[in-house]
Amino acid sequence: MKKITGDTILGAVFAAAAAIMLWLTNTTLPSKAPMGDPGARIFPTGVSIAILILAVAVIVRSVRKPIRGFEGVLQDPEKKQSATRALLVFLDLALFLLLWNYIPFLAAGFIFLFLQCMIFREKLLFSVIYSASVTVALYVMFSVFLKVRLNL
Amino acid sequence: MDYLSAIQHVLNPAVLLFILAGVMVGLVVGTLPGLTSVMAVSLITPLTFKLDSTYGFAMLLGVYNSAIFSGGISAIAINTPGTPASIAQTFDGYSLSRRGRTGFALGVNTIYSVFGGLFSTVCLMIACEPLARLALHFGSAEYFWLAFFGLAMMISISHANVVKGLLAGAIGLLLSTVGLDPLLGNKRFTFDNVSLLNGITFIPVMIGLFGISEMLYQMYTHKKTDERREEDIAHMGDKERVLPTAKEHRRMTLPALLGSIIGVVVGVVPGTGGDISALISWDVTKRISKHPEEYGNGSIEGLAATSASNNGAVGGALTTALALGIPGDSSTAVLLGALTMYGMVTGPTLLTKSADFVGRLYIIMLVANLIILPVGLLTAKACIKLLSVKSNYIQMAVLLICCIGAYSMNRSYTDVIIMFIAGIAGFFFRMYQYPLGPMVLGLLLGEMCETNLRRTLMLSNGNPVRLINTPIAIALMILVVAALVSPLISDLRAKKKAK
Repeated sequence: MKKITGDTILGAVFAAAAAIMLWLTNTTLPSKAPMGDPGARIFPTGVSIAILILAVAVIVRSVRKPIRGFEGVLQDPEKKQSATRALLVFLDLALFLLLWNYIPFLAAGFIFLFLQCMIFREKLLFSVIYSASVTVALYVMFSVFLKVRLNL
Repeated sequence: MDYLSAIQHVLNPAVLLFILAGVMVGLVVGTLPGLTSVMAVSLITPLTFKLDSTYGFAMLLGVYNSAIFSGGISAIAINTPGTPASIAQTFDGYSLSRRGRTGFALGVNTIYSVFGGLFSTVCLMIACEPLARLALHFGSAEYFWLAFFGLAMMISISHANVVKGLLAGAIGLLLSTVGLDPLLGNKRFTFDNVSLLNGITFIPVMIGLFGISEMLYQMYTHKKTDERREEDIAHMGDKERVLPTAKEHRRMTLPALLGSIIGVVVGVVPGTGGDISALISWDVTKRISKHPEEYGNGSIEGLAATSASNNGAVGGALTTALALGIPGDSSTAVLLGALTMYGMVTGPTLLTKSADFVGRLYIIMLVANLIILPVGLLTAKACIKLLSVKSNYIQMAVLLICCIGAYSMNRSYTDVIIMFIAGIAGFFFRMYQYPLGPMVLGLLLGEMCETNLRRTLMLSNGNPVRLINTPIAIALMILVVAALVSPLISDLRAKKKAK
């Protein structure tokens, strides 16, 4: 039996999302509209059905001719390192977005950049200078010049 | 159109300063590989929101034109295109650079990029109004097919996989249905979130798809290219001639003119852009050249044609965007998003309702290109120094700018979350070869498609035949079908040949 690839999983995610949207469309939106208007349902219903069909086509194609995405990453040390870095940066970004809600932008931005410097194994002094200078520069540009209040 | 008043407006020190600032930003962004013109325009758009529309577009058009031109700098210097539109410039530009003629190649790139940009702006000024006037006769059925045509073209050039292109386009269309139903005002998929009542904001999605996902993908596919770059930069001479001689200009003028024409024509077609036009121009000018053997080995004609062509596509892409409301490429899609952000209605009525503003856009385009000429000639060599900056430093800062950019437009944290989700989605899209363009276009054109489909059906009491009851609607429908079927046929042919 052929292995399930990321391509197949992504196709399945789209199919599932389309099925949910189809269900939502038909349960939450009114079925009738005045003056011959086909209503708010028609467009999302049609598009969801199209996504469902296309997602199934992608799944079938991915089984026959899979595209390598994350597959084989763990076997290649260089790829593994890059993938780990990207994952850590992604987590750092998520952490920044969370922190931004609770602490001032200057602190959240500094932590975000400093952690990234650590992920890329920069020297400690450079990391501090880089993170502080970029955060302050962006803060000044947006907060002072463009009057965008960056503290949520 | 009152060009005199437009000139007076644009030749004001503040507007000129914004154009210059945009050109400088575009120069930096375009030079750095991995930072594309779409990303630059998406990131700058929220910054311009607080400005007057003329100032805002002065900066945006400065960035757009300059980023396309400066993509050629890294293509020439280190064989890595700064933006996708500069791929063809690596063919001859890098060969010239390896022969120690970097400065000269950069000079050719600057002069002929400006040539292409000016040529395409003149074409834009000539063609936009008649095209919009024609489109004013369109009814809802024609608009429905027109929107679909834009989407179909974008899908048909998704060479890798048409099914994935269709799927991406359909996802964009589905996302466009979030918010209030455009005709009756029913809430759709808002999940009681007030921020979603106006739909999914376009700019944060663009920042996520082209900023966040690009940066994460670059980190994921990280290769040790920084060392090779330094070696290439070290090879460059400092004192060679930058400006071509009159004899060299004579050799380059015809290919550059052809490249510009191809650029405009290709740019007009929705979904295409500078990358495709430059590749076609390189091939066409090689066929008619007296020295085809030089192509690929440092041909000045090849470099001039490709430089003129990718900037030529800018005016072409803007023609359909301004006249019809259908973006020629992803950057013009963002510009259309910016126009709606300023409260303007895109489509053919833009030229009647905001004629003064459109006139200013034309003049800004001309001035931006004229500013690129001295700025490019004076700073192109210095820009190469930017290539020594480690890519990680840029990627880290860009991620932070993306977050601030997405937030600053509406000061909405929901927009930041939308950007984040779009970033993750874009990363997986890139990984599994789903084209991003159709999704962007689906999101942008979704409302136009739905509104006009429903209006047509309302007018005919639900009879779908009304969708094809005029010659223009039939012609557009045939074009849609042809755009979707032709890649499938060529795919089948290629498979048969392979067998």
